[in-house]
This record gives sequence, structure tokens and C-alpha cells, in this order.
Amino acid sequence: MSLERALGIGATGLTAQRTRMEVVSSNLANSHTTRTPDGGPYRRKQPIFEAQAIDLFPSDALGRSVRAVRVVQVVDDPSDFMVRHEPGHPDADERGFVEYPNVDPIREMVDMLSATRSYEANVTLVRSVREMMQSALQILA
Amino acid sequence: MDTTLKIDSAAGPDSLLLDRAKGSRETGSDFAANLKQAIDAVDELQHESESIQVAYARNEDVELHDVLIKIEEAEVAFKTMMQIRNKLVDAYREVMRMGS
Amino acid sequence: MNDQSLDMTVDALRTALGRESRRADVVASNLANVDTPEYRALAVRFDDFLSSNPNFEPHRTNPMHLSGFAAANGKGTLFEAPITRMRDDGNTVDVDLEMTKLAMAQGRYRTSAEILRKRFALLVYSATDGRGGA
Repeated sequence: MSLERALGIGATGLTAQRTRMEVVSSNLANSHTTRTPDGGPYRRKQPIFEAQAIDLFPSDALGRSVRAVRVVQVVDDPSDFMVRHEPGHPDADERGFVEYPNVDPIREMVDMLSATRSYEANVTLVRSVREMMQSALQILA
Repeated sequence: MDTTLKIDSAAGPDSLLLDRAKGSRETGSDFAANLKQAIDAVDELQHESESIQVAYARNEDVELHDVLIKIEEAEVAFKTMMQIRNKLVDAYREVMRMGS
Repeated sequence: MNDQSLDMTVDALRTALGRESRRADVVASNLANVDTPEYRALAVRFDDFLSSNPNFEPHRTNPMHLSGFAAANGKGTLFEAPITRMRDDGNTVDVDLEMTKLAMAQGRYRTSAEILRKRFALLVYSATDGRGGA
């Protein structure tokens, strides 16, 4: 049960990090999108990670138990858009200012690296747990 | 508990059966009683093996390694018992041959 | 079910496997939540119950109950790991430490399983008089 559960938890980790990577990709791809269907520039998105209790295992008296993870929401970054003075731009306002997405490509790249590393860590975990299960099966051999 | 069955190796399969049988409250010093206890021990292991396999299949709270170890233990106990049985049968036949 | 094994060595190895499984479980939780804000890294402790009291055998009213050792120790005790690093978002997971813990758990698990495999192979061999059949 412990090993099977560890595998399940690892799987949630992989999914969450992959979602995060998708969000970062979206931010990067749209870092210069000044026009969206809802009007206005693209607004940076960020995933909200939340630890998830696993039903089967009761928490101890202090509420501690192992947890899975889930991206419960992808929210907009409320920080201000970047404004540049470009009078010739089709989306410029009457004073010639253009609102650009509040996306900093450098920050997104760093985030992508972090997400990749976290993803890899979970891959290693899943692989290790799988090998442990295979070791156990050897007992029958 | 005294027993007429010799234990050659401390970690041999014979000792496993008799350790388990030792849990019984009977103090029988005769062969038949010992044998019965050993058979009951094998039976108990078989039941435990079955029930833990079922529990695992039902996704209940059992550990993978516990299931596998229990399966192996039951197998060892069973095979030991079979060997004892075969030896007893051989001995019986030998005795019967003598009589004629 | 009788929770104790037929011989003490198998029992000890079985306990070891249980311990390392649990450790992997805890590492899984920490790695899955490596980026969860406010998540505090977990650790697990297995009190060395048996070694401090080898003659302890609690009275069991029902043979189905776990033996004292297993009940006290089975899943270990979870606690918040000592903080080796903390990020702005309150997360305390140290990935390198977790990976090390995972490697150790896996190694110990594999070793115990291997020892058990050999042990049972030997027992089955001697139980079948070296002939291999039933």
C-alpha cells in the first residue's frame, strides 16, 4: 500500500508540474500579445498549487499525513501591464501608449527550469518506487 | 515443548513449522499430536496466505512485501509438510513389507 | 491474522521493507509538493521499540490484533522535517535531501528483498529435499 500510494502521489506531482510548464509556455508564447479576444493585452497566468489529503490514510492527531498535489486553479497575475510609448502601433491608445503583457520572459524561463527540475525529481521518484516493487516481486522468484 | 521430531537445522523448514505449532497449548509428547499440530500450522498459514492475497486484490491496507512473504512462507510450510508426508508413507510401506 | 513471521529474521526483514516503503511514501509527498506554498517537508521516525524492550509481547485479546511492535511502529511517526532551507512561499522541501533519502530507502529495500529471496529459495530447496518438485 505504501509503495502503491507513493506511485499515486508521484503521478499527481508529474501532472501538476506539467500543468505549470504549460502555463509558463503560454506566458512565454504570449509575452507580446497586445490583443486578446476579451480585449486588452494578454495577462500573465500562474498555477496555484495545493496539497491534497489522501482519503485512505487518516491524519494523525496533529493533522499530519502524506499528501498529493493538485493545481487547483490557474489565476491571472494582477500586476500592472507594461506600458510602452509606440505611437505607430495599431493597439496604441490616443496618447500613443501600448499596453504589453505583464510577462517577464527571463522570469518565465527561470520558472520553466524550476518546473523541469521538479518534474524530473518526480520522475526519479516514480522510477525508484517501481524498482522497489520489482525487488519485492523477486521474493517470489 | 518436547517433540520427537528432530530439528537438524535451526533455520530449516522443520523448525518453522514447529515454532508455529509451539503456539498451541497442547503439550503432547506423542508423535501423532505433534504431527497434527504441524498440519494445523500449515493449514493456518495457507489460510493467512489466501486472506492476505484477497485483501491485496481488494486494494485494502496491506503492504506488497507482506503479501509476497506470506505466500512464500505458506509454500515453504506446505512443501515441508509434503516431504514429511512422503517420508512417512515410505516408512509405512517399509514396515508393511517387513510384516509379510 | 498472525502478524508475526515464522522466524525472527524474516520478521526483521519484513519490518525493514515496511519502513523503507513508508520512507518512500513520505519522500513522494515531499517531492509532489516541492512547489506547494506553505508546505512543510515531512519526515518519518520509527522508534526503536523492539530493541529497547526485546521481551515485550503485549497480551492480545484477539489474535487478529497487531502485535505490539507492529502497532507501535507500523507506519512510524510523521513529523515536520528539520528545516534546511525555506523559500519565500513558506515551502521547506529540500530536493537534494529528498533524493538522497529516496536513494537510501530504495537501496535498503532492495537489499532486504534480495536477502529474503535467497532465504526463501534456500528454504524451498531444503523443503523439497533438493529435488525442487512439490
